[in-house]
Amino acid sequence: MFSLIIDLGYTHNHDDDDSNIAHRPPLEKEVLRINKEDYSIGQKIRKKVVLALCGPNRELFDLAFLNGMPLELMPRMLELIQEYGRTRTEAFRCMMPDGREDEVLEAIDRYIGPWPSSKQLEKEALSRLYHTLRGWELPSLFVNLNTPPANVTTEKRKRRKTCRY
Amino acid sequence: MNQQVNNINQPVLPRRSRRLATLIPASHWISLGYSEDDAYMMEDLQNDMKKYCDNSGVEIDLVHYGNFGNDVPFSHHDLMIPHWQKLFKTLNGRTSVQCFDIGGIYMPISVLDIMFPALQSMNLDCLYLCTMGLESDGFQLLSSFIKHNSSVTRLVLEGNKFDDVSTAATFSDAVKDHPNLEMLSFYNCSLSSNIDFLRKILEGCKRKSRLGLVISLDSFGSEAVSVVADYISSNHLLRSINLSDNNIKDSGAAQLATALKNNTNMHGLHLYDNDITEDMESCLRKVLFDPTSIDSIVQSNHRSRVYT
Repeated sequence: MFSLIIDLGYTHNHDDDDSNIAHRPPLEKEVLRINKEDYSIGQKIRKKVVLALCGPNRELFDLAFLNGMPLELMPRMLELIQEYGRTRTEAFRCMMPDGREDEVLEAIDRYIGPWPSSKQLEKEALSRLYHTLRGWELPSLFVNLNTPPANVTTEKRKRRKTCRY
Repeated sequence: MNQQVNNINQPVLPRRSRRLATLIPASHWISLGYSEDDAYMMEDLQNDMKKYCDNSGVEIDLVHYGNFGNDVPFSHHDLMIPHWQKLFKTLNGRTSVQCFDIGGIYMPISVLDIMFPALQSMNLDCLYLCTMGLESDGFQLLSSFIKHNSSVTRLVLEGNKFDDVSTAATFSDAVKDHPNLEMLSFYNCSLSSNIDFLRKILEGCKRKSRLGLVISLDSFGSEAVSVVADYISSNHLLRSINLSDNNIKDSGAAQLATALKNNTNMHGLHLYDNDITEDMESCLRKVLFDPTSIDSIVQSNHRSRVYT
């Protein structure tokens, strides 16, 4: 009886036991995994932002929030968006700690469904990149594009005299 | 056999039995008025005690005798005292034992008086004292044991209930100073039956080292949830807290969610088998990941895991 109670987790805390969350939605599992991992707080925030941008619900994929973002940060943001494919692979690799990818993929196929191929992941990543750039205030990429830089002289260059024979 | 001490038909113990703790067969227990099941249980208990006297191992497991379903420990009979004496005398100083697990047997103070000194000499890692009907005297002995012990890392007190606040306070003090305790379980201990029991115990859990705390199968009212929420909110070095099966409703879960926002130390909040709706489960999850904006993501809890 007592061992049964232990199994049910009533007398103990199974901090590292993922069996209890196996049936939870993928997004929740991913959040729990991020919180469990030994990342720095900064890394965790970064992974959650990526999840919000590219995860199943894409809560942050409304690109309007990028509009106020300084231009210098945009490459970082694009990098984050591209990161998601890698994050997903990492998440499943954790299921097999010694990194046996074939077995991981086989297990995923068996229990979860077909795992997207690397080509498909790449396609998704490019698609996200495309949508982000399209949805973002593209004109800000080209602000002042017609105005010449300050150090460029406006004087007409004298034409070099050449002999024409 | 629900009374804790059976003094009816108390027989005169044969001198040989007193000296050698020889096995008292089921037939004898039946002649004393025990049911057949209980009589064989007594025989099994003695056989197990003998087994642990004869063989050294890393675990002593004396459970399954009591009626766990009714939370009533199996009654004590003075005929068993020589067996307990022999067991604890043999175990005294046996440092190879890491886990002592006893459950469902009532132990009078006369037995606890010989048990705790033996346990103190054993360098135990885990101590499970389940449904033993510990009373104030028993808790005082346990508190003294904990106060002078440094080896125990896991202590499970399933089904034992405090009688008075001062006993809970003494136990709490002992726990607070223990250097290595990592897990403390009050499964089915009715801590919330008197809110001061809960307050005192949580006071003891404001420790300098991380602790996994289990307070489950209790009946939490709103006041009990508030006390626990305040404790979580105060961000002590709590590793995790298991509040499963405590009748916690949505309003209580909302308090816990708010408390969790202020906690940066806790790794796990277990809320299985409470009366929490799916909407409230979503609110709890939002504490860990609120994707409304980048700011809300930054302000989410990045350490805890919530299990519902």
